[in-house]
Amino acid sequence: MNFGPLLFLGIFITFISAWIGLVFAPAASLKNVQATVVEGSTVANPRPYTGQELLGREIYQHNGCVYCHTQQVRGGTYNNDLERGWGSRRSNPQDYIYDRPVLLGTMRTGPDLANVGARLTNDNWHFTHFYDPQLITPGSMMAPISFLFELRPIGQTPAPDALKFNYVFITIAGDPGKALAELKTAGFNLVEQRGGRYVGGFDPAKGQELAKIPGVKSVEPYVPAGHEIVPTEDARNLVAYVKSLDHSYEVPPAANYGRLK
Amino acid sequence: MSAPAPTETELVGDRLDPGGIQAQNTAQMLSERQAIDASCRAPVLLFLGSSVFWLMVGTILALLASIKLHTPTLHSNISFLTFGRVRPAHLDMVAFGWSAMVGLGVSIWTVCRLCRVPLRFPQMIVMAAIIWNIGVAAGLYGVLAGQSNSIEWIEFPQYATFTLFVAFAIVAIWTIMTFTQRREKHVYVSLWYIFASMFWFPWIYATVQVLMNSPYAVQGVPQEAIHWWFGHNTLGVFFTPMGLAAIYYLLPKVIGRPIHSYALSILGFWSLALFYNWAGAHHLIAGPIPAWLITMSIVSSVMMFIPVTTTAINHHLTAYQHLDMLKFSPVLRFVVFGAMAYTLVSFQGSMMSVRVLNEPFHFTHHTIAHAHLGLYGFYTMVMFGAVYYIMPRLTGREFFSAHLMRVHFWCVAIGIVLMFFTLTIGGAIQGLDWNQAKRPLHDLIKEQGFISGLEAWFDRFKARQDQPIPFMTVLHEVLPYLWIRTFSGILIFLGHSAFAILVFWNLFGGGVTRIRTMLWPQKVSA
Ligand code: HEC
Ligand code: HEM
Repeated sequence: MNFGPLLFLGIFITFISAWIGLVFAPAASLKNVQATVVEGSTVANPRPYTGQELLGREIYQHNGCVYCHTQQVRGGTYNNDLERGWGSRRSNPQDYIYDRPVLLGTMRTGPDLANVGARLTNDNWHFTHFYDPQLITPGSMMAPISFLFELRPIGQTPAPDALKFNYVFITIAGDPGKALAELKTAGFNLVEQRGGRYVGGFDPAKGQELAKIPGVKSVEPYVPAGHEIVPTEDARNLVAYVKSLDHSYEVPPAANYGRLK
Repeated sequence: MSAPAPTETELVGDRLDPGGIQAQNTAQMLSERQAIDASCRAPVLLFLGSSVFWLMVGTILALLASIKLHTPTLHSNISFLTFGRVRPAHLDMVAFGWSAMVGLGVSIWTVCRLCRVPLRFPQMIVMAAIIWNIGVAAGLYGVLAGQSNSIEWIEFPQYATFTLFVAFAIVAIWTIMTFTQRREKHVYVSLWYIFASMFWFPWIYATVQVLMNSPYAVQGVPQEAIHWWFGHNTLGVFFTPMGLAAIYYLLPKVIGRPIHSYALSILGFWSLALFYNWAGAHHLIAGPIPAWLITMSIVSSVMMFIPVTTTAINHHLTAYQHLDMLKFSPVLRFVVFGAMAYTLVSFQGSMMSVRVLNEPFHFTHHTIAHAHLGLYGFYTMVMFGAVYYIMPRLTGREFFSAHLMRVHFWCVAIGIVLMFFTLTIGGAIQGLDWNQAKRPLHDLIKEQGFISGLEAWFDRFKARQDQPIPFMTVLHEVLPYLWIRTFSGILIFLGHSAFAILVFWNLFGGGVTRIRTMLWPQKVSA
């Protein structure tokens, strides 16, 4: 018996049915989702990305942030997204109309970023976090992207957006407990231990005192003297993009479908 | 384990349908098979050899990715080794380098054997293999150099994607040509699966490229529906059919009995074709896409119980009475392991797509465990078996060390089982702690002991909490499991190294000549 044509037909039909259902139907039914204009104003939500934000979005794609971060807030008990402060409402198709490609993500090694721009607005925070996430969140699993920064000697004038932070590495001889307690009163703010050294923030006004504390063997600045850490253009664009992630506007109830709130 | 088990049915014909078996054992069949193998030698060996090379590359990237998840500062100043590039590179290498190449190599050979015609113009397939290799290498470069588009499964830059497409088109056209020239009237079930995958894959690949990754991309979230329709179908209607085809071919061949029920295999095929195609949107449960779409996909995911159960009955009942052969036949060991993993992973998948279970497990390492049980425990294991079966027939040499084969089997078997269980448990804790419990499981166990700690933990699934467990607490809770995963990765790496040594040694002339020398009159080296 010759099954050839029958086989082919069956394979074709099963395939095309799913194509219509999962490819064509959603594309056709969500074709007309648009930004909503806020009544009595010219503000439309969401707004299109700026050029710089789009460049930053490419950096986000090239460096695979999506493998650890989602960009979708879910409702109900799903991971308690709303209770965690990741958004004020569930994500909605309207939020993604300017996204190409849409980067929903599949893994939450890190927090959801759909509204990160609403909660973290400080450039210096982001730069420091990208350069060395573990400084900001001790024990963070986030991959540093220090390769988007440049460590260079300070020239005539310091770069305006050079990272502004005060961290030191401290080596301690003998019992660390006692020395650390004294360091703390001297304004040393321990972040974590790295390979035998303690890294932490300090108060520049009292910087000289740290080295005099008994047990402290050496104090080295995080940024070598006479140097500065400067974000490259890529890093600046990335921060612009991350800060633009804010979907906390209201959407019309009709568009807010789905079984969960 | 080195000599082929005496019961292998080299001398039994390629008609695996019930009743036809003994009739085919003629001298004419023998010379026919010899001609087929000779025509397949260069192209199929090229596909298999390259795939093993990419498997090693993918494994090293996997280890790196795994280590970077618990030790993120390792080499963090090197841009091309950052987690966000190594991880997609790992996925793409094991998917398009290893899985696709080995699957195509095995399928080409299987098609020729089952159609009973030699490969015409094998040079074209050689060329396809070369083009495919160029595509994979270019894609690897692109992803590591930071040109990835971060669309999971299609991270390759467009130049690499296009190259792969060309190579695939050649293979697909060749397969269909071989089919139309077939001398065997009966179309064995393996052929059905192979055809389905050859037909489906270019469609899904082209669709997703055009609608997501080109100037004609659709707007907004429908992209994600399309993305996961593709992502799921790569597994479901490309890799899975090739894996099932190999099981359906190898099991009866090695055991020497026909498949348990031919009718069941037909039901299994058509229900798979119907339901798998529809399952994609279960990757987006509770996401910002229409609920009806997700519900459709959940329904068809659950309906997958039908093809999976039929296939399971067929495979396991065929193998069941011959389990004593597992001791001797390397092929059978890998294939039976794969068939069991297939049953398990599919049932697990159907369960995971139900909303209540997806709620805690989505976005966690639980999903990663599932992915590895599927693509590794099932597909990769079956393909190991297929390589052990096919390579000696093409090179005319046995593998040189039974010892290394055992090392291979035990390392990867223990490795994948360990990885599956650690990530399943770690992922479950991660998800359940995110969702409802007020105190993390590990704290409760530390305070109250294992049993009552566990009890207290389950007690907490009552209401939604205003104060969810902090994100970082849960993250740190999962760390030990990630370390164990790295350990299992090292085991798997060792197993793969043994495998690679066996394969390349065989390719380049090591190993004794096959016992049935009469089948290999030409080109037999010492
Ligand atoms: C290996 C996984 C991983 C990768 C890759 C990763 N992150 Fe993270 N990210 C984390 C984790 C874990 C946290 C939470 C701890 C912290 O603050 O560092 C986090 C936190 C953040 C935060 C702060 C969110 C908040 O609500 O506190 C931002 C912003 C962020 N990541 C952006 C990025 C960007 C941009 C990239 C891509 C360059 C990226 N991440 C890549 C794991 C990752
Ligand atoms: C040495 C052995 C391996 C190790 C240590 C390993 C490790 C990893 C890691 C760390 C990830 C990323 C997980 C995350 O983002 O959190 C991953 C993803 C993945 N790996 Fe592997 N892997 C190994 C072998 C393989 C093999 C051989 C295959 C298939 C042939 C495979 C298939 C996949 C798939 C499909 C994913 C994507 C999962 C998803 O996103 O859902 N892996 N692997």
